[in-house]
Amino acid sequence: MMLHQATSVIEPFLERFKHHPDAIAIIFMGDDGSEVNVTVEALHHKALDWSQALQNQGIGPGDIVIIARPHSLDLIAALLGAFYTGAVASIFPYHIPAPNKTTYLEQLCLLVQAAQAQAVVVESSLKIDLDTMLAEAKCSTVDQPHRTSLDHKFSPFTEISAHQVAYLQYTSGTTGLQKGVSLSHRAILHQTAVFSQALAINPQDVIVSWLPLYHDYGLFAGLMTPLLIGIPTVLMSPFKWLRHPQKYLSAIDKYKGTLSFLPNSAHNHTAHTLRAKNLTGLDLSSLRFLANAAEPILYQSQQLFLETFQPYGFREEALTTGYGLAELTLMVTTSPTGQRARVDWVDGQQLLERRQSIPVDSNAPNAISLVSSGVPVAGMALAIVNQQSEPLPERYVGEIAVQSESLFSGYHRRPDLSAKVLREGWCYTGDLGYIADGELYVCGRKKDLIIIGGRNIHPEDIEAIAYTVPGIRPDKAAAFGVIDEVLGTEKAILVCELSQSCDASSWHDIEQALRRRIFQTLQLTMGEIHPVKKGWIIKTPNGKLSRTANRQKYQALVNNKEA
Amino acid sequence: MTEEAIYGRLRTFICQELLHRPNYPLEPETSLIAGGLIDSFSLVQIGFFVEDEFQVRIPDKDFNVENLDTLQAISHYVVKALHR
Repeated sequence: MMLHQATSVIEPFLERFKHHPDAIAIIFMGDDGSEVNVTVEALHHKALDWSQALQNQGIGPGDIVIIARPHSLDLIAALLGAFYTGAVASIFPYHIPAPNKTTYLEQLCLLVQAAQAQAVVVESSLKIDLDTMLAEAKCSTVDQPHRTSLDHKFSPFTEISAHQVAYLQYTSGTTGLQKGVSLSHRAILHQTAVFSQALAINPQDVIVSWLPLYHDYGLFAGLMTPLLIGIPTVLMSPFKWLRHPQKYLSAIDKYKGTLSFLPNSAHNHTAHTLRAKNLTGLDLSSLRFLANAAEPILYQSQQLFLETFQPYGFREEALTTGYGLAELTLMVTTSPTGQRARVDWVDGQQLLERRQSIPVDSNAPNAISLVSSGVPVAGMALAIVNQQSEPLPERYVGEIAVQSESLFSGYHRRPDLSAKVLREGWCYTGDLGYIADGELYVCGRKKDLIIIGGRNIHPEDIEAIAYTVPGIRPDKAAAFGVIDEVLGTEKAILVCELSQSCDASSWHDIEQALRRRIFQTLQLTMGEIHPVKKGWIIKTPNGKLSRTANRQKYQALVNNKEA
Repeated sequence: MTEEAIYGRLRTFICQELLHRPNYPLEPETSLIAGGLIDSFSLVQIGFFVEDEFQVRIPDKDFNVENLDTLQAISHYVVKALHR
């Protein structure tokens, strides 16, 4: 079945089941060292079991089901089971290191409330506690599939119109909970089609992915695309990759992986943590597309990866990139296949001051490198616009605006927030970039957002926590992200003014309290927390916090110290 | 190697290489992960350090906050593993 003929995300998978039940859908590498080949038929039956379990709880079409399980086959089967039920699914973020049980369940309940969910698929060990916490909510919990052997009495629910919502993409934190990105069946099917086309996916391709399934990159690139297109995907958990990057590389070698996805920081982590003794015989030559996306792309990280892995057969042309956001389901642009992502050397000062990218020699003073995010995928209209939403010519920096069938339907239950980014069919991304020779270069952010390892952090959540810690002056804290080239990602910085009663001797205790509370609430480890004197924090004339100005002031301070 | 020596080397590594604050007043019971001092990437670095420095491999099942959240806990873990 062609994807554009389908109206529901499960239809292409059901077609696979009909025609190729014995094909391998997933090779799942467990944290315990196991490797399981899951056929399309086996996955279909597992999904039916979970769908039955949901229906036993009265869940039906249009109901919202949150799936809160660690990275596992059950998570995937429950997700498909929710789709089979005609329900709207959402995967709850499961960060590592895992927060304590109480914090995890409290945050899960906040999501149930924000989404107004009807069911949660949860681990058995947490069911009793969650039932107690959700006693007042009209939300049931499911911890086991309903094992009905192969004798299923019902068929998956496919009477869905394509514009209905299939999935809610959430990020964690108070602000993230307000922004459940509603993705319709049409948006997901369209994105799957254009993403596959952009990567020239063919039946010989094999995907290898460790990306978390609660993140759009992991879910749509690593799982849904291969399931719907009909190629195998080798999956391992983020923990397994983090702890054993060589196992990810070995999986590429063993299964002759051709496509994989790696946020920028993962290039650094993989290269930095490997020991030559573990790489004997490693062959990465099968890989034809290793897409760096989901966070700012650094030329240095790509070079590091190339220099580390070229001796093991890694091909330079596989060093590719992409730009996307959950609001467009997944990808807006990707590198053309078969060629390394281009690098643009421009005058950094002109870029900052005149918002123009002037090409210069890589040795020129002020030269900075920007890596291309590629060209728009099919059907994606892309414009760089000024503050009046007027299009800008090539090499002028402005906000990236996009229009596509992959566009989200709005933030779940928040039309006010949707109206801020959706105007006349265009999505105003809040990201800054320019076009050169038809390729997109992302070079900043208009919106206040910190991206660490592909994870979106809303700075206002960090600041709100800071104000609960005694010693911090109310409304006098600013959080922002600063690129750390060694890690290849941003680190979160908090600068805060101390109340008059505090002196330097109490700072250590305040910092400890801040770090602890921020981790407990957001599972975020702060890069630096910096006390500043009264009057340091910059606000706009109308009293609004300017995180950009505070970031620049902080960077100037750090640079002066280093000088 | 004594537990004191192991503790000292670990402490130096964490303060210098991970926190980049050689003078940080890190106590034996300071919570590294739950206290928001180090992230999962740094935790993996500790795993590699322990392997390289003390020839102790931490299996995945032990690689969790309970075993590795404080300097004292990591030192105990290494000592126990060395005597196993």
